[in-house]
Amino acid sequence: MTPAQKKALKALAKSRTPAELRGLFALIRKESDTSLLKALKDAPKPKAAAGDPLVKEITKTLAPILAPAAEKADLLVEHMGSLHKNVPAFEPKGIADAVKKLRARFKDSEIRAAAASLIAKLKKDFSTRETVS
Amino acid sequence: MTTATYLAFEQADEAAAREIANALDRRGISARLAGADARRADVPGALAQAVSEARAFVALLSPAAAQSDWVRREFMLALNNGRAIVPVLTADIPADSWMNLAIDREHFVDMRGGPTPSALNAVIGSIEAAASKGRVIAMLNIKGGVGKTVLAANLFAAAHLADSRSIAFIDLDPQHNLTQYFLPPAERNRVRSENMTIYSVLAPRGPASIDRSAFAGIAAPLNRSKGKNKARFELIAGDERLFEYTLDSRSERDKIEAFARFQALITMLRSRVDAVVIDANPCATFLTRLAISAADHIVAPVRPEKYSLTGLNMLEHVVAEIRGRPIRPEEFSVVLNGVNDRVGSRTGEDADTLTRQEIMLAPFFGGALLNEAVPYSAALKATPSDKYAVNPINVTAMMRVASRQVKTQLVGAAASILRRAEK
Repeated sequence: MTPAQKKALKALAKSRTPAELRGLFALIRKESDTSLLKALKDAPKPKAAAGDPLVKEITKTLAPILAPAAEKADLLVEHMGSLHKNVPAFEPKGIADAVKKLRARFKDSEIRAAAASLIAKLKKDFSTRETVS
Repeated sequence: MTTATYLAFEQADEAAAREIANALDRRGISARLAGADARRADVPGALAQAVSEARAFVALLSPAAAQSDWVRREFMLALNNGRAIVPVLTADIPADSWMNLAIDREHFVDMRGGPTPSALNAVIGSIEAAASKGRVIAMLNIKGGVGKTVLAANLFAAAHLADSRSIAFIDLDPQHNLTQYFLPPAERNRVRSENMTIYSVLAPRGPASIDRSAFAGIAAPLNRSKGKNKARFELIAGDERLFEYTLDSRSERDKIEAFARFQALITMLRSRVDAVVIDANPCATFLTRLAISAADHIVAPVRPEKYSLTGLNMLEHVVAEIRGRPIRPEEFSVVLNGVNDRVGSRTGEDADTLTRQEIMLAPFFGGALLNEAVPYSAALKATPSDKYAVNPINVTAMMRVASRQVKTQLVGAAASILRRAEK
């Protein structure tokens, strides 16, 4: 056995008990090279969980606001307060957080409508469009 | 703390002046009494030099002082050199005196009962408060289009966001581009219709005029973040009616009163922010005079082209003319706007390097050139028109531009300017 081979073997044995190693050697003797190499390949990453469609939709609706996500979410919560009674006061960390907490009190359709009306309001109050008299 | 103070008085008030000087001396504040060494008709600029060297200016107001040409000249020099003015009333002054127009009567120290300990303490308190107040920085170049407005907004937004510096902007340009930069049209209309612009501060009378007691409430907040940063970031908006002061359609009396009202605004802002940043109009008008008179420090942006440099040279003459004395390079920061921006340079040479070398070799402005590079203002200006900035600070590059280099440059340059201004 060459020094390089010994080094590779030691790396394999690292932090394994003799019993575990015996089991591993037996496995290597039993399986083919192809199946061993296939098993060493990384398992494919699970696909990212599909996001909440309402969060995606609200994010897209609020895109014209020039602000970090937390500020946009705060505006949405504040706007909900102007439209409905008994909106819980909280400072959301982001749009997902705002949607999650607003859902406890409102339907998806109400949150969707609030986001749209917020943009309509901002368009009226904060449009940067200059006019010439 | 040692604060040099200039005491302007007439002979009738000499005893009170000496009492004030002694009280200041006991407090460790050096005082210079007006006298023959400064009041020299044969040495032009000697009086201006003496007044401008002091951090604070104490004027003893009495009928004799109201008649004195020297006190009047000293007072105007203190105004034109941006000195903190502490008026001390030693006797009732005539109703028709210039002092009534030029002095904020609500804030004088009453010494009509003599230099009592409480009156002396009030003088000392006013001087110490003046010494610890925020600095006034004017963005100026006689040439337009050099990036004054955009750099003012972005440099001091960087100082606010990165270093929590409290900033108040004053838009003193009739074009009011700084106001347009931060506020959308509807908000601009609102502040204008509610008499919350600098025009209402300057107007001494008429429907748009506001009382001095309302000055503290006219600033539009530019940072509406909840609980993230307590430091102020605010704007005294401008509007197009400021043209009245550039077209000379206002009377001299109106201008004198506007001058005093502007000083009162500056005094109020200095007490609550680290820096008052005045975005002045190009050219040399009454408004430019207001900005230069109030400024502790002048920031002059320069583009790498010859007209911009000519504007810088003119600025030196304008400032010297207003201040009535030779000016010093450390009173300025020259900011080369567009370093490493080679667009438009068709000579094959690096226009920026050439401009930098040219300024560095200049006898006066060589010592004023800022070493720190700033991002090119045209790149900072590109605010998307299809966005709504509910929180005005979000239109600045510090919030909008992702580039770390841009942010680092802005923070570094702003810190350097504030260091120079606070010296």
